[in-house]
Amino acid sequence: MDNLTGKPAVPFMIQDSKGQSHGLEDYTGSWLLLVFHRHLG
Amino acid sequence: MKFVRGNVKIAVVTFENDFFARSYVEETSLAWPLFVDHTRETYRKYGMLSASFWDIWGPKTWWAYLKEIVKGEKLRKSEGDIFQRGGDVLIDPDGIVVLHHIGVGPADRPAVETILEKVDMSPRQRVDHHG
Repeated sequence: MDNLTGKPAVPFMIQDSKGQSHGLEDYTGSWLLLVFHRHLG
Repeated sequence: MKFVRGNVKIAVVTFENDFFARSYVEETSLAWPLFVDHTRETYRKYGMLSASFWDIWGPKTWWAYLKEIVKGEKLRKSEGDIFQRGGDVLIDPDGIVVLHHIGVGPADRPAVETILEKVDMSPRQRVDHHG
């Protein structure tokens, strides 16, 4: 995959551990750091 | 907390199941939302695919573990899919990716200072600070 630096973020819609949905557009106007974990164990 | 600077919101993403994710949040008192992506769709969208055996068990990994041991950290046996890559994606307020780092192995993550530098050096950040 090409590096996405400088390109528009890929939209996503995802639920958190409490069941609340989050989409990329929810963070418009804010900096967002997505930390992709490897395994939690 | 360092990331208050620059008003950076943080979300941790995991591919583990809901039960494991909730347990992790409780056990670690995680300060940020934990996104549960058990289909790994978002992982794939951001290029976080499977690592090779050598990526996982190469010399960089052993060196990182050795440093942890020297610091007195107790190593735990890994569980789950150890080949799933992790990484970091920093997105600016306009929705543009400013940093896209796909980890090669367990020890490959950008330093906090590197991420904050991206925020500080962003034209958007300078406009926000100086009008």
